[in-house]
Amino acid sequence: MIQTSAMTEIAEKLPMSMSQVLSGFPSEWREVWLQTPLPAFSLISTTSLTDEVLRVLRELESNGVSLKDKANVHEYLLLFPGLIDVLQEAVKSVRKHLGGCQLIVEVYRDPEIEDHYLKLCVRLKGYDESVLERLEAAEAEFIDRLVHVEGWLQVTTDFKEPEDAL
Amino acid sequence: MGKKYAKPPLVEVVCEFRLSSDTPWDLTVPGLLYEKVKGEFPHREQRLTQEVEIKHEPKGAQYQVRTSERILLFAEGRRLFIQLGPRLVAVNCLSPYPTWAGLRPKIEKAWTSLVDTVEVKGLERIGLRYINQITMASSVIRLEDYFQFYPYLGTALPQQMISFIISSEFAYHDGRDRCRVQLTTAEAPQASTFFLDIDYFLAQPKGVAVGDVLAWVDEAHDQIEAIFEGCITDRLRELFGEVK
Repeated sequence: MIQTSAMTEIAEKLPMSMSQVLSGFPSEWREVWLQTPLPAFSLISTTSLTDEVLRVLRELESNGVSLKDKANVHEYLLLFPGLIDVLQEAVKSVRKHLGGCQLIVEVYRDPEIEDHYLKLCVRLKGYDESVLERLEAAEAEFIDRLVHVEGWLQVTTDFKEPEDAL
Repeated sequence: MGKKYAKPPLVEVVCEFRLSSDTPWDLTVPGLLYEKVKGEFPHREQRLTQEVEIKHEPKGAQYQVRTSERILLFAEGRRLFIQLGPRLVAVNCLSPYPTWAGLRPKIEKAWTSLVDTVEVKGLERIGLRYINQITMASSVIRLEDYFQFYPYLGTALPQQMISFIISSEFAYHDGRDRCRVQLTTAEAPQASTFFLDIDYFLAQPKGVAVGDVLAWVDEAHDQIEAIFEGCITDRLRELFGEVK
């Protein structure tokens, strides 16, 4: 038997649809479920990459990360799933080193060569000489992870002001 | 044999085998398995994932979320890959769907390679999951025109929904197997997009003998086909371009 708080933690990890199903029920109903020998409603799904990518993108958006051309970002992460965890780590690192900044994720396509990669663009209210150093410090925390996966994630800034709506 | 469609809505198919805890497993297993499948799945990567582990105790099921390392083995084109984790092997297929005739041999390859590598004592769970993304051009539609599985709204309720999730589980073989069917709305500007998600799985640990696993997978596929057809109307079949 598990406690409600642990159930909440598990629900957060599950595909969105199951999380929403679980969180929509009153807590006393969940307790009844937890007391049955086997759950009336199966909590475990067959692991799906589509589910995982959708969940991660929703989490990023709910944490204030903007997704430019979301369908392309979704498709890129499906093709290069090794970047899913790296992207989440990169967002944490950037926030740690650059504080309150606007973050935009998009798939960048090089117009001159056949190459595309994931870009995490940072926008600040003001830029000083320490920005590039702080970006490098953020990148240093996850760049080693990129060695073992296909695809690429580039953290950068375009030195623009944060926008209200993207 | 199911219907054929020119534009099937499938975005992902997954076949997953979770081995029982008494199956021996160690760090060499992924490498040994890779040697057996690298002809078809040559590109190897690794990543961390979070997953839920179930332990069946006398008082009930105990759930733990843990982080584990997965090895991913990609076929050329990266649309088909095998995932290897502790006592877990899954075959993922992204669209375009190569049909069951194209996918089934890959599942068989993964499974027989696994059985040749480790002494599989039993299956904790087997799952075959089909995820469909269905988009209609209009942002306002009547669900009953397209689906035979959708939420029913009583006459006293508002008749226009912004979003919904509806999920049902059906039991097969006296509860040995279950099929979870879920219809969910998805974000889509100026359009109506839904995920129709069908997950057929072994609900009873060790409910299927190791030697019968592939037959189970075949039956799971047939049941999923039947459920899928049962969830949609001819209007959706037209949208998918049914090949008659």
